[in-house]
Order: sequence, then C-alpha cells, then structure tokens
Amino acid sequence: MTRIEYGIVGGLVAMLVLSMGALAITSDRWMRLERLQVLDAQHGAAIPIAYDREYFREFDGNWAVYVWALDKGEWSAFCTAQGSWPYTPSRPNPARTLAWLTTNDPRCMNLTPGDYVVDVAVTANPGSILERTARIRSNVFTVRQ
Amino acid sequence: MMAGPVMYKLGRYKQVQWVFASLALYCGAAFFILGSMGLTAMAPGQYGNMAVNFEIEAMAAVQLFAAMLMAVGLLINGRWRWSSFLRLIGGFIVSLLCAALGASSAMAPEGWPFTVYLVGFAGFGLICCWWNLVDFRSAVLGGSDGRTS
Repeated sequence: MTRIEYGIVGGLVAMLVLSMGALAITSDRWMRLERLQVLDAQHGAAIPIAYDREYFREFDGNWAVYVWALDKGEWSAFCTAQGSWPYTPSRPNPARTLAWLTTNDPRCMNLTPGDYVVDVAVTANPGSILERTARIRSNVFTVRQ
Repeated sequence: MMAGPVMYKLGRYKQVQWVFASLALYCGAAFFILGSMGLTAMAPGQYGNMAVNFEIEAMAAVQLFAAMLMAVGLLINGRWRWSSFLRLIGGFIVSLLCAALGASSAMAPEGWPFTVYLVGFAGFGLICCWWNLVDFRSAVLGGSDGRTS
C-alpha cells in the first residue's frame, strides 16, 4: 500500500470516528422535553397545557410550535409559531396555556372547534456544528363549541 | 531465486460487495445532502424515535464514511493484508445502522415498509461481513484462500 493510501485510510477512519462522536452527542446534552399534555377546552377559553421540560446548559435556541388540525380524517397544518430564546439551566413550571406556547401567531391563539395535536421543536445552537433539536408531540385534544 | 512479495488474494464476491458498498455510499450521501439542506429526510412517523433522537446528518455521515472505508478496502484488496478488516468494519457499521433504523421504523406508525427495506439491506451487509470475516481469518492466519473475484 502506498503512503497516499495509508493517508486515505487514516483520514476515513478519523472521519468515521468523528461522525460517530457527533452521533453520540444528542439534544439530551442541552435539554429534555419530557411531556406535553394539552387539555380539552371550550372554544374561546384558555387551553391549559402541561409542558414539562428541563434545560441543562445555557444556550441560544430557536423554538417552533406546529399545530395540526384533524380535517376530514387527515391531519393538516393549522398554524405555526416560532421564535428564539436564550435558554438557561432550569426546570420551568409546566403549567401553562396554549396561548403562552404560541405567543406570536393570532391563528394559533384562537383555535376553532375541532381536534388538534401540537408539535414543539427546540433547537440548541442553531447554525453551529453542535446544532441539536429536541421534539415532542402532544396528545390529541379537542376544542369544543 | 528471489521470492516476490506475498500477495494476499482476498476478496470474496468482490462485485457483489461493490454493489453493497455503492448502495450504502449513495444512500449515505443522499441523506447527508437532504439533511444538510434542512429537508425532512427522515420523518419520525416513518423512521421512529431514531429520526428524533439522533441528527440525520450524523447518521448519514457514519454510513457514508463506513461505506467509503469498505470501498477503499475493496479497491486495495490483496495489496494489503488487512484490507479485509476495512471491508469488515465498514460493512458491519452500515449493517448495524440499517438494522437499528429498521427496528426504529418498526415502532413508527408508517414504518413497516421502511423496516422491510432496511432489514433486507442490513441482511445483505451481514452476508458481505461474513465473507470478509472469512478473508480476515485468512489474513490473521497468514495464508491465502486462493480465491479471488
């Protein structure tokens, strides 16, 4: 084997080890989204949620909330809210409302009667090599007339 | 009479192994590019918890580099005694990753078709690994199995 071939093999082994290391670093290093439970509610009333999460390190992060509506037996995107936040190590109070979770979207804050499900995604260190995203999905909940 | 360098003529079913390595390279590269572009390359509803818990680019990079290692092992073949180890490790990592993804897909609501393909590909990889294990044993024992392809 030539020196170049040894170098190629060595480089490939190094890249493989690095990518396995990158695989081992998950979003659990920065946060854990434990539970997202949304209670049924009346149309127009505040929708209580239990959003249990824990942040282990300081990081700049992006958050996104996707609300899906059940429309004629299929799930379709109803509204999206997103933003950024400087997260600090903490375990915040899980008792919140859906309006708090979807602060900047009027459509998300005013759900019409029907069945819904909510996806939350929090991304740590966006744009960097250590960008990691944690996701959680809620239960199906109903907004009654 | 001077003896020439010992050539370890290893490499069972080389063309078949090239097919496996090429497919693994293609899939690894494709998923890496799709993941880097921010597209939903692996939906959780199809691939299960692994698509949520691990970075798609990292999984694709592992598959890509493992497949490249296997390809280099096939290219070098008998010119280096331990090329079978490169093929064995590369193929095993790809097979393990596909098997893990297949198991994860089986738990997803729409994952069974993906499980079928992933487990099949992992099985193909393990067969290649078996061939390379036999070649590796020959390399360790210092002999040639005399077979080339």
